[in-house]
Amino acid sequence: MSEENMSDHEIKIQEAYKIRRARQLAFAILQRAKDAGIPDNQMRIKESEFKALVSDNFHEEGKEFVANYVYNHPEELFQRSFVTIDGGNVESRKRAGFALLFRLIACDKSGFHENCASLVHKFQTFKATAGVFRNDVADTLKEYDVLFISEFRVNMFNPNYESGSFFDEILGSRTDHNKLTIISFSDAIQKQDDVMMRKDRDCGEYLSSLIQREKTDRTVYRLRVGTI
Amino acid sequence: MNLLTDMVPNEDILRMAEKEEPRLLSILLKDKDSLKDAISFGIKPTGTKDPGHFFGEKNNFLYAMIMGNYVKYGTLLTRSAVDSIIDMQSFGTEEEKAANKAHWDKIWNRHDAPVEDYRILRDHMNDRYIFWQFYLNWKNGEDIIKSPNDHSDMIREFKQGMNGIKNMDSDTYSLTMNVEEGMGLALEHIKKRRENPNDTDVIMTGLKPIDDIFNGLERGSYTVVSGMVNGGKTTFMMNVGFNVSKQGKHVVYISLEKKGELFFRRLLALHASTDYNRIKRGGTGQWGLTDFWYKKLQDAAKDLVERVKPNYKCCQFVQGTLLTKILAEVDTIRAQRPVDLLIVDYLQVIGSETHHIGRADLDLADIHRRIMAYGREHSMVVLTALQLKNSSSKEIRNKAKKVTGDADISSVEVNTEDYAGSQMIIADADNALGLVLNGDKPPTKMFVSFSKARDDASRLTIQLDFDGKLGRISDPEYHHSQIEEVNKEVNNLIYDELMDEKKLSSDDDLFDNLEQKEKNEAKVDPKTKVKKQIIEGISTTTTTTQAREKFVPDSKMKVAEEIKAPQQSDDEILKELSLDKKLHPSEKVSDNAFDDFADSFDIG
Repeated sequence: MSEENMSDHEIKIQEAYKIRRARQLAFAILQRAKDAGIPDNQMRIKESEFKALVSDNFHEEGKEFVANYVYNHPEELFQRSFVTIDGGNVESRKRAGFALLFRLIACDKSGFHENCASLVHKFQTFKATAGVFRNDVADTLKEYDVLFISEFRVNMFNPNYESGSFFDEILGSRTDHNKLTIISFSDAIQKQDDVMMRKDRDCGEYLSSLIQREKTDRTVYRLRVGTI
Repeated sequence: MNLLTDMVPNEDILRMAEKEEPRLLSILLKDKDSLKDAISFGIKPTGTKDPGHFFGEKNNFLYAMIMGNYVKYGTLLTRSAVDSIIDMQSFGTEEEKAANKAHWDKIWNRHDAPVEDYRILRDHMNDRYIFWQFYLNWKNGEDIIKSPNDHSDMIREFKQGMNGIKNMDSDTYSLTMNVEEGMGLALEHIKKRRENPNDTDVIMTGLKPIDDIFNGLERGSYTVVSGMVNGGKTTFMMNVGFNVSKQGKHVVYISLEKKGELFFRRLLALHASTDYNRIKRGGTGQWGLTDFWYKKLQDAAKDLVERVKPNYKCCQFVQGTLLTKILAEVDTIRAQRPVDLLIVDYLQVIGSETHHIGRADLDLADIHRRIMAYGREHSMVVLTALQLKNSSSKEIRNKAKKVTGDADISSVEVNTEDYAGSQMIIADADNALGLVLNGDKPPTKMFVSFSKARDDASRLTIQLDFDGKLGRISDPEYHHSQIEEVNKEVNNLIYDELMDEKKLSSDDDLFDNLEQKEKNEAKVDPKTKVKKQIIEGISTTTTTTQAREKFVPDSKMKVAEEIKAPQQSDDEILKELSLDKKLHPSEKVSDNAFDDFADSFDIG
């Protein structure tokens, strides 16, 4: 039927359908965010609250610019490979990370959150006889459009295990396929810099070089948060 | 004449057969084109279970020789060939052989019918053939009457026999053409397409991404739709059928899974944009059929019956119904009006009439082949469904779960080997579409993978909007202008804490804004409305009238003309409005008249 023949009824339906579709998609995004591991109290963080989380004096462009960039131009973040979050305290870093993850999932993307400690622990405790293998976990993490690894700390890595190589595998694949990874650091990045360079065998080359790359590489975006 | 059918109690028919059969044979001995047509039309000699077209025994024998000779050597039957064939026969006495040879002479020499008579002779012969089949079956009726038991079985057999009468319709499909004829037709078609690109006889599905790829489904084409259990096959086909029927085309939906009544309930829910669960729940409670939704459904039903009038028929059959019976019903419908689109939901539940022991796939292939041939013969588009293999379903579902945006949809691929049943089905089909729902709970998108397409679209994957509650599948591109609007609304909703998940999945207040604006509009007389439009310029409300303007350029022009007509200044309009006693109190003109107006219409 041509559009000219649409009845009042159908036009109303068409209008209502837009609202219905928007609700349906919003509902799906909330479900996806839950599946991604975003806790209920870290969900739906608004732009104003995110702006308050951003460090007052680190970003030359100002807090407003950063918040506007994240909330109103999220597609530009997908041009990058990494977003690093540091500063503040554990609460503010996590909240900023979840806010970012949620905003990016809302761009019709898949996402996942994993705490760095539990990920490292997972890699270090896998047994050869386990039903799930390290590669399976690594393969899954490679596929998400956005991956948020929270509370990274070099000391978590044990040199006797190959966790670093698994991180390299995951992050290498994600970078090659233009998939964004958000990493929040428990310590200020400057403090970690030297340690990481020395411990690159433990946490993998990608993570250890991230800090260096961040200074020159446009594909890394750094977000400094303040304390809540 | 020695008739095979001494028992046919119709002297007129016998007389006609005696007269016309030799005349037709005389043409078939001399004209190759007529012979080719007769074979492809289905004129046949007596078979094991088939009485054949010829009533005369010698005529039947001669035609068997003519046909056999042509099929084997591609030539007409000459006298010397008759000699060779008959002499090589191990059966029959010398007298019989001589009589058969003499029959060729008789036909050749005495019956010199003009080729122009061929079609009429052929059609008359076919009529007699149908009559003969009917009569043979009818005779079984006597056995039913005389039998003391097993009536239902005998009647069923009788019914099947009646439904199985062959050559009821002429075979307009079979034909042979050479390069000259083929090129002539091809160029004629190309010229027509060049001059009138929009004048096409194809069937558009109403889903733009699919129509863009196929440029509409060709008449006579056969499309298989496959998906996993509860994967949206029925919803997809119902939507396509609805879209096609709204274009004025005649659509028949064969439902072997669901009742016809249920089918129309779903169709109504779709047209009314009403959550089907409300109908299922019933009652007048908040989640049931409240006054508002009840009226919406009534309006939609009225709109469908009185205005849209889709030519959409649903034939309900129980699972296991034989295809012959199903096609007989379609024949009855076709007798009233040609069918443009035949939807069969779905292949695996149709009763098989062949029994390949241990090879159910071959039985399924037989069903598919008959439906496909039926569609070709009657120039209708056939759309049918097939399950996906269980082994493939899990893998495909997992892939679909990971896909969200546009970027990775090509990873959702349904290949021809993922389809259940015989591979012959996909090999024969013109198009095969694999349907996969995305991983959202509930699903929001349907991926359509082109497993097989005659054009170069094979292995492409596209996505459509999916709303399981409404049973609606729509094209995101069709609503392109709305995508931005929807995305903006999504961004508002996900950060609006008042809109919890319960509210988001509810349709309680969907029409509230629209209804409210409608009510407000109703309070204002049309003249005032036009004046308001002059004051406001381009309105931003989404009332029915304005919404129509978005879709209907012509009506937009009309409104523009109306607006142009008064040519009054704002002061003049205000002056006039203040004298209007019929105005609603909320529209009383004050010093801030413009603002008041804007408020009353919830503008800006």
